[in-house]
Amino acid sequence: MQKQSHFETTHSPQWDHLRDLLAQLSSVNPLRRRHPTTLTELPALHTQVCHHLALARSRGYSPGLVNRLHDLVLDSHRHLYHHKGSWTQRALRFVAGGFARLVRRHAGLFWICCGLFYLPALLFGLLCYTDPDFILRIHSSRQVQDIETMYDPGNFNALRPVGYEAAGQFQMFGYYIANNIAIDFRVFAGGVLFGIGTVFFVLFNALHIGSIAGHLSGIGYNPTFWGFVAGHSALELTALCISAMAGLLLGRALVSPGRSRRADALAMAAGDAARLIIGAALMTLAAAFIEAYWSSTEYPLRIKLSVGAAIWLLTIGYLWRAGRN
Amino acid sequence: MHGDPRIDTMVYLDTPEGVQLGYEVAGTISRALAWAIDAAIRGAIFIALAMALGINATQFVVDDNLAMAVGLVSVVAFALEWLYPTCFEARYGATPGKRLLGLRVVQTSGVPLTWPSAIVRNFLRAVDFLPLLYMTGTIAMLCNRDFRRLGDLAADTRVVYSALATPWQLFNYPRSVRPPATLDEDTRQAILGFAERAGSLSAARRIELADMLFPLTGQRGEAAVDTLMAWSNWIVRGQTR
Repeated sequence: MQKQSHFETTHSPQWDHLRDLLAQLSSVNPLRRRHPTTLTELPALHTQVCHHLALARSRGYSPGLVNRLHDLVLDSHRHLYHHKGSWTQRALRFVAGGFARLVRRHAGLFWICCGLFYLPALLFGLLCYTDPDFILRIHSSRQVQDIETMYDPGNFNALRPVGYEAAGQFQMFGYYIANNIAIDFRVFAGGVLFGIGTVFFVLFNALHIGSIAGHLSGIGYNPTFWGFVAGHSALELTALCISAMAGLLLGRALVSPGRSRRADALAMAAGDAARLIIGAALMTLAAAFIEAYWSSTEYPLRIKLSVGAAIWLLTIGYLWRAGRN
Repeated sequence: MHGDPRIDTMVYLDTPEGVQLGYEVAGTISRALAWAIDAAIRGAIFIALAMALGINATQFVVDDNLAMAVGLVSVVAFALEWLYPTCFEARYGATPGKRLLGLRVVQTSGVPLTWPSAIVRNFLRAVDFLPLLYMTGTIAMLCNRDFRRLGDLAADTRVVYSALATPWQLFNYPRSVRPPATLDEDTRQAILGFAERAGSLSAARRIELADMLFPLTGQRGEAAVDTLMAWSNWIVRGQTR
């Protein structure tokens, strides 16, 4: 049997070569870093060093040698099996149609989530519309007062929430981003509590939005409220439903994993769920932009409603047709 | 190596090349420390930004520049909470806090973290954090073999220690003596391990360890150390002239 020292001296040039290649791959300096596809000798070299590791183990060579070879193989394995495609291309294809296709693939779940949001919202909207005092069962009188102040047609505060009257548009953009995208993320994260968290957050938001919409319509603040929400409602509400889809994908994996273990079902659902939540976050980002820079401007009502209707049609059209051949 | 009844935190994975790779799984304490470091870093960035923009808690929006600054701070706060861990883990496999403790996040198959996994893993922090300071996450970690919290279970990931770079040196010793033929595999490995580590041990410690093999060597003290080193040299090199 070959002695360890002979084994080491024979093969250490190959090990050094592999370490150099790996150093080039992971170089911090982007100019010195080589692209993985240019290293055509890496797979064969990796296989050889794996063979050396197996030999070293089976022949009982010293622990130091075995550990060094093991760490080398570990590093090489990491680089060899790391899929690093062009992320810009994949991102563009996702936005152009991949996202819409993903939503259509889970179409049933999409309609369930829409129902989960819109039906309670409509119900409570009607209740608040017909009874001006009903909203006090859901919000405190202070909150109701603040909302009425914000949307009062006679009030020239440019539709800012109470406390933000003098806020600039960029500040509101930042506020909407932080606030609304976080809502989407929480709706998604709640799915891991067997879906209950997602359902809870969606119902909460449905009650909140529906009651406000119904109440303000009931007391006649239509021009301000509907003029404000027309522009960004399409993207924001649809994104909320899609976030709920992502959360319920996780919840469904936990509640009824079928023939897999729960952990495996969860891991399998997580891929689609992650892509859905990212798409929803991008939609909410766009909605935040519209909300900050368009929704609170003082154009005539018919223009704002037309623009809003157009965005609704575009959103529906995108989800329905984008990504089809 | 792999049916070992030892209690340890190693996870062994089979590769397509037919070798087994071992990963050392990180436990709750090191991950908690890494999180604390990250929280401190994020807090520092946030405070630095707020101070640089001249905002404090009692001030209110009175002019355009300040409004712009507050908008920026909101976005930065959001990014620090949700995007900081996601982007660092997806790009480098470890946040700065984790990197300081030598931790890395990998998929359970051993390959580096993919983007969807990074997203799922970090967005589910919202649940792992409930009700207070990652209690749910810690309980989840203690309930499975690999210290995986809910985010790890959903994203099919594991937090492991990244391998340290060990210095590469061929073992060498002036003398070479044939060891007894009755040495079993474990003893041989132990002696070789001792010989390789001898350079980093103190003389007293070397003697202490070598004395433990008195039944085998029949010697104590420096003589025992010398005998073990000579045996190791024989095993590694064969007979030297």
